[in-house]
Amino acid sequence: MTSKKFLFVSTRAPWQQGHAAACADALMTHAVFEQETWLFLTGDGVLQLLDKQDGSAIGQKTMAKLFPALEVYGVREVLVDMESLESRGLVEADLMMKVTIAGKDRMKALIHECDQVLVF
Amino acid sequence: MILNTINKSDISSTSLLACLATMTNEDALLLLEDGVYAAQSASVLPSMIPAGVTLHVLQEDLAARGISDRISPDFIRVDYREFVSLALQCDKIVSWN
Amino acid sequence: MSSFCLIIQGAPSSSASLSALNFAKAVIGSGHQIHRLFFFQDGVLNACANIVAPQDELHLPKAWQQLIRSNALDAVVCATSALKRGIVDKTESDRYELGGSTMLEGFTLSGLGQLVEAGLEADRVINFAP
Repeated sequence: MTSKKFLFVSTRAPWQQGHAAACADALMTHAVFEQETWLFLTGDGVLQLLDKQDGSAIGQKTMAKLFPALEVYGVREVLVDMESLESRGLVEADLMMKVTIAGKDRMKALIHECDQVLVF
Repeated sequence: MILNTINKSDISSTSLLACLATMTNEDALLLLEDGVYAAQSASVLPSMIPAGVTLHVLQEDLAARGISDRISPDFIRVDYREFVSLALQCDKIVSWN
Repeated sequence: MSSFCLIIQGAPSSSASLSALNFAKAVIGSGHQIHRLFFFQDGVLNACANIVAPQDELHLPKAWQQLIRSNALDAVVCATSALKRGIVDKTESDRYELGGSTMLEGFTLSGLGQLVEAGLEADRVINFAP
């Protein structure tokens, strides 16, 4: 199978109408089909990575548990927008896993470099 | 060259700010749906956009919202066929929502 | 001639579905091809057979169906999104012992792999989300 570069940009909080979950599903499917994939969380999207999320409190699956598995699926890199973290009073230690904290310049470079960009 | 599309009116939205931060002066921007409100003369949007970016607005959505006469001259009005050609002139389309 | 894949993530009540329909018509009207329509998330409701629209309003599921039929388009409905929203074909209805298909003819249930394939094959992918 041929391979292309796909960037997924996720901009919404974890429980908002399933957008975050749909983004994760699409991302993982592309990775499973051996495509080069990146995930960039920006805006409220950075909240998806907050540690201590517990979906069971509202009778839901904890979607965040997927994130540590992304590397296993072959996702190249998970990036988090620095400004979005800062404007929400968050630091790297508040996140559930090690990710790349990056500026909008990196997002710009990825958007231009990837063959396809999907914003969720 | 990237065609960025915006379909929301909120000029303080995360998506719009991310879109603005990631455009280069060779890119194009198209406003559609409620995004077209940001093409009105009073909008601050054109001043936030990197010089060189071509600005487009979908005329069907302007007409539906009654603001065809209120559009900043910075914007080129396009119909759906022109939207399709614009999508083909660009290497990819990034739809911010 | 170029080919497009359209991702439709908005329900029939959304601007996203309407914009996507108009864009699809313009693609065909300009002599280009639609490689695939991919209905995802609430977009799968555009394939619902049980939607009744007021007579003076555009019936988006029927408008999509007509476009799909008259141009023999490949219209894929994401099965995961669809089952969650009550959209099933005959096979799924039988499997889960439901009351029969709720999906309009012309649409096909399939997986996200079809989106990956379209991303590799189509010249352009465009996402219509609410």
